[in-house]
Amino acid sequence: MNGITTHAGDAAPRDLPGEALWSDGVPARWLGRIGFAPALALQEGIRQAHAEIGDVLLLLEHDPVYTTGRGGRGEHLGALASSGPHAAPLERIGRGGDVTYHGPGQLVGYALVDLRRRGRDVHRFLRDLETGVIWTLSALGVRAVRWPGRTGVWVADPGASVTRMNDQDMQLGRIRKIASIGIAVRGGVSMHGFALNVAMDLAPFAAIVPCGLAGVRMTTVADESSRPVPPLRDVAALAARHLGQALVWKGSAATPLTEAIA
Amino acid sequence: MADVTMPRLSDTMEEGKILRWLKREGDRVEAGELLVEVETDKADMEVESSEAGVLKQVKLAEGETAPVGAVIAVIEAGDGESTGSTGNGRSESPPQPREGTAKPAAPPSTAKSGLAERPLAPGTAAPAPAVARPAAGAAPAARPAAPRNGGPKASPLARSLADDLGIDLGTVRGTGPAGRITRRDVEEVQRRASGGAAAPAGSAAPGRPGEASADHAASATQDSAAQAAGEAVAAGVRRISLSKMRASIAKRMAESKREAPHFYLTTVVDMDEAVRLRAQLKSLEVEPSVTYNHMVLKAVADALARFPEINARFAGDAIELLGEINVGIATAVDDGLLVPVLTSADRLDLLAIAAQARTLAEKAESGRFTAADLSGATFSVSNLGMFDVDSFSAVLNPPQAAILAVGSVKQRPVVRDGALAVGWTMSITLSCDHRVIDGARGGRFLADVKRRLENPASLLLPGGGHA
Repeated sequence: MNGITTHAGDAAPRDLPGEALWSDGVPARWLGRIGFAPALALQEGIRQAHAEIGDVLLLLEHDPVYTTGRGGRGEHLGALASSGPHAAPLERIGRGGDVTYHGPGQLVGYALVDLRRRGRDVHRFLRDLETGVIWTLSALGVRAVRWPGRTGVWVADPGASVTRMNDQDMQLGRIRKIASIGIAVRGGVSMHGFALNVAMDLAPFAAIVPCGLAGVRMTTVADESSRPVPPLRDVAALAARHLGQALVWKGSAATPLTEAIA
Repeated sequence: MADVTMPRLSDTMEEGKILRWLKREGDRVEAGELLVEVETDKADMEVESSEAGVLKQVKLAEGETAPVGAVIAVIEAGDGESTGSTGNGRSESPPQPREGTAKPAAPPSTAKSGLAERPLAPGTAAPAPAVARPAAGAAPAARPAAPRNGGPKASPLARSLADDLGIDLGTVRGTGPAGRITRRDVEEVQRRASGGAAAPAGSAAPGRPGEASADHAASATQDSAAQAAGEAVAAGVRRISLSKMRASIAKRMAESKREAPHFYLTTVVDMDEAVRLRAQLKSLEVEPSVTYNHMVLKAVADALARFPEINARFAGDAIELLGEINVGIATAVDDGLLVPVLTSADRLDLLAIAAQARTLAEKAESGRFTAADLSGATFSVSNLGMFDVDSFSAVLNPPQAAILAVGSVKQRPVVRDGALAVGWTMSITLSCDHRVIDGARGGRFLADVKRRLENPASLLLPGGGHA
């Protein structure tokens, strides 16, 4: 479209909206700010035409919206405001995970990737998403970690133990959640992906029990980094580079070593 | 009739939750047709049937969770023919090894998994097994078995713990979601059974094998003697039965001290350069982040490559020099310690060691070690620096001939060019099996480790630069 090649020798995905971002792995596109429904329709369209389009990572920013997965529990929805400053609609969608919030200042990444060519290991794909987000955060000056058993990306205070992360540290706010992850797999292709809080008002999260974790404190790149936070499009460019690479399938001989390096 | 079992959608998947049945009881199901949506971790997967027939019975309701391999539904072959093969290699040999062990009575024909993932629709040329997930034999041996049908719901950890302790899960009250039995519930029963009142949940902070087993063993033996004699246990004494891990630590550490004549060599490493290197790597935001222990592991691996006689074991009538350099990392876990292994550590660069050590630590935390993660160490490193231990001597982990005990990295007074100064130092102590290693050899090895840590640029070179 704009002449930027995203895949060695490959043409950029055709007929997709938005701007191609540089990636030496899975091609990525920046869609800017877009409503939840049109983005979902776009995901569905790409998924159905995946055979022609191939893997793609959509990066975007949503208008305020609450979403919950099919496994989400009603009581975690809390009291969603239907009016007032934090009013936002609720969308029930087919993805894993509980309720969360999307809004301006948050980088959302939808990974439409063929898991049939990735060893079909759905947990591994979640780990790869985490890895890509962690790399992106590292480039933004935020050291983030995984919490085994608690999918997503977390930031821990120096005082909190990273190898023995625990609920108490979470309740005390010493471990905070900076990115949420939830996917669906339809016809062998993944949908949805991650939401990284970059520079945003966290107040809308207060209305819900994010991810179904009582007491979880959300945080943002702006709160965690001592450096100025670049505009969201530039953060998307970093994410394209790092997630593009993290989502590349590195072979089925998943020894612990290759997994660890991946 | 074919049992539909909870599919394994990831090598690390242990259980799944039914989000939505896409078919109702009595519905006709074609092979390859979508049957159910399953949630595992934060992923919602569509799963299709590998069987054709009528969905006879749904055994796991929406919102309920079951371990991989548990029966979630039954499909009856539609037109009288036995539930046919779908031509899909995987449905012929189900990937759930656990089911087999759990219900030996089931005739083989019903042990079939009724599910295939959508990608493997019948008629699709199924990829070779190499691409499919590991076959039964490759599944981690440490994983507990699937529940017996109709048995209480319990987490895999709870199940294996109950097995270890000989507790009947039927007698345990579950406090998890939907009455599921968790590890804590099993521990609670164990605690009550052993006469402990409201004991704190976490046991004493685990330490090095020797010390930890010593004090636990003391209270345990004293007590069992009292019980055997039919005497009441003195008030205030809390009896803790040995877990499998504690029993193993007790046995191996006692055997080590009994059989292997230990001697100890200590040296102090000047860590100024290592501190500088770590700060540089940090400011460059190198991922994964590198700790001092990772540097020690790398220095040890490189030094072992140079001193093969340290990477050895006593074999009765011979000393065996071991081909591979596999470094065990003593790691504290809830009730003791495990020694996950960096395999072929001499072939890993510093960042690969850091990455792998981190993965092993995560696995230790979640209890998800595979047998391979814990076996084959040829040398061990035990680091208590994080507990502000200056220096200590470790007990050998048989049949290994040496173990390195690492203390804290701190600023301490040092003498430099005849003057007193402040520098970063770390004490390391090598325990050696004197049947294999003599003092001079141990000393040369220790000096080599020290030299590598004091010149940490060598740690960044492949193979330690053979410096």
